[in-house]
Amino acid sequence: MTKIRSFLRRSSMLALALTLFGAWVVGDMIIFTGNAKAAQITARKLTISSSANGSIAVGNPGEGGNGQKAKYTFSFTIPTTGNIGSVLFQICTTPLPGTTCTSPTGFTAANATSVVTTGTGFSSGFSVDTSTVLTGSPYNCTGTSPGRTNCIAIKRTAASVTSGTAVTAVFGGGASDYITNPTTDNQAFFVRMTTYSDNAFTTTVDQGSVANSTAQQIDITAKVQETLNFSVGSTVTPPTASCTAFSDNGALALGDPTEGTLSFQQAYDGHSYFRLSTNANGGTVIYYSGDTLKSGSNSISATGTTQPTPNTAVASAVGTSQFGLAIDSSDTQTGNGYSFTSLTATAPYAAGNGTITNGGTALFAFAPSSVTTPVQIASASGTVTCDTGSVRYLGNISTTTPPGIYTTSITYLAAPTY
Amino acid sequence: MKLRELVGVVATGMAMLIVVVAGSMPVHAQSTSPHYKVEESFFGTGGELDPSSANYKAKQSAGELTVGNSVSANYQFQGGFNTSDVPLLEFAVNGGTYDLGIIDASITGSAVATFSVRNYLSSGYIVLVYGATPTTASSGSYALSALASPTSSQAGTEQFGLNLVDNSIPNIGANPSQIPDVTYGFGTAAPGYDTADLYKFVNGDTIAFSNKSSGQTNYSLSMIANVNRSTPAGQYGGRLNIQVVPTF
Repeated sequence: MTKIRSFLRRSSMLALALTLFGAWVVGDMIIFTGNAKAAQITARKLTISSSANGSIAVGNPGEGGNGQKAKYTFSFTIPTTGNIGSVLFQICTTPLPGTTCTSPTGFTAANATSVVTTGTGFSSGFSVDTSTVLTGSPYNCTGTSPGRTNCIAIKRTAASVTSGTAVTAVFGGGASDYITNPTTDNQAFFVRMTTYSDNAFTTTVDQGSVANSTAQQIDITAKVQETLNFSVGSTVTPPTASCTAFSDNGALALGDPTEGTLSFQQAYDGHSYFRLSTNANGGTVIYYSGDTLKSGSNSISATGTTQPTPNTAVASAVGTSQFGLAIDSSDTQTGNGYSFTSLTATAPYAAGNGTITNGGTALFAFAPSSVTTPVQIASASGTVTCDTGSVRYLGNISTTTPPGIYTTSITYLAAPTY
Repeated sequence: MKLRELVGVVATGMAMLIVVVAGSMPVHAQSTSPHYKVEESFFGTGGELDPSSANYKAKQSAGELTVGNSVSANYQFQGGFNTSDVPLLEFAVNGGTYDLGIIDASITGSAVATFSVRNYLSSGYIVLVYGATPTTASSGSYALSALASPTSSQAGTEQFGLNLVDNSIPNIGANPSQIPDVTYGFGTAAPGYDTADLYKFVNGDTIAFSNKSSGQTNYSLSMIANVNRSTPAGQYGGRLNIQVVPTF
């Protein structure tokens, strides 16, 4: 009997203990169910279009130099299969969800008005929510109600997303739809991301934080000095990689190679050269200046119409007193002579190639007025890496041309515009 | 029921309660696999993560078994006295104006800027560069040519490029340095920007990275510019925007 009483007493004690235990288990479930641990969003990152601080607006919105109107791209992987109806992005100076959130100085998402999402099950339906009040607990978003200074809220009709789905959400980067970075340089900030199964930001599904930072900008300066390398000669030399200048004295003899005389029965020609290299981006004009061939008071007539400043070149007329010049594009001298790439010859001095027999194809002109007013013979609209010009001279005499030694000096000038 | 028996019942219930409550305490995740993550665990002969009183807070350990970061394809581990469960990003660019000097077809212009990254509890980071080559507004807008692939500096050829290593032509820059040493910092120059004397610049390129959580890495950003004879004269200017993107 005593054993039975003792058994019953011990049984009741055990029952009481189990009752207490059960009560605590139930209580414990009630306590912690409401605090259910959200899964952590994985493979998460934030890419911003500019790390410039939010006071800098250099370049277009969404470009690297514009921190005032930046684009934010969130990329992450959904860890839990289930409905997602809303997502909250909260920008803070510290990362851990559930702790106090301080908005980075100067940051504002108040101008983020649209979102583009990608990812299976996540790509459609979302829009930026600007009405749900998120200023109170547990969100504590900053700014006047509904609190969008440091929070971006998006929602849709809840739809399921499968675990492991990589998704993105892109905000801003436009002229009127943008996010402004924190206004402090080298300021790290964190974005606490929370997904909800409903579209009222109520039932948390997953959480995770990402980070990014503003940074000082690196401004680069450099100076490129103005350059002009211009030379004249009568003996061609290779330009080489450095655009080597001509260095001879430029002397040129027109006439029979042996006797050095002109003839009323045959036209004679000769070539001189100029070489130009310049970084004048505004263009360069090349002029000549000089008189016609003279021997004392006698002269050989300048050719071209109408004198003294011709605008039309003429062909060689054997037996007629003529002195003229023109650019000869055929005188390439296997790469060392004519090589206009940037320069172009100016009319009427652009047709020096061809024959100089009587009525030949080559055309010449000369302006004695160039002595006082240099005459343009070629020009470039931009920079010139290394161009060589070949100037062909024509000499004809008539039967009445007085004998003598006829000479002249032609000066070439280059006028760059920087 | 006697008092002693009642005390026994209560004690038994409380013991069960403690077991259940302790098993239910919410904690931060403590390590990770494709299905699980733990961020802070203690392995050693003694210690405590965050003991505190009204006046102080401490971290204690004894018989520390390992220190530093360890990583494989599937997990990452931070060991040591002072690990933290708080992700960290520190990114500092020593910005400002960097003058490449007076450049002509025989002289290379160069400058070196610096930046540093420290990124804790991440899966690594990348550093991106955005911007345009130096441009002059005089005589119309003109921009120096960018080096689209790693190329040596060549005076007389128009070039703009950069890298993050120690160069001899010209003699500028430094290799990434880990602070305090290579057991803590893991940042490195990205391919294309990691070879001495070869320079490159592509807007939006990744110029540096770490494949895992990293202590501080200091980077030197070497910039070079060359011009040819027809590069327009003028004052050139440009802006580089350096960004870090950590992945957690």
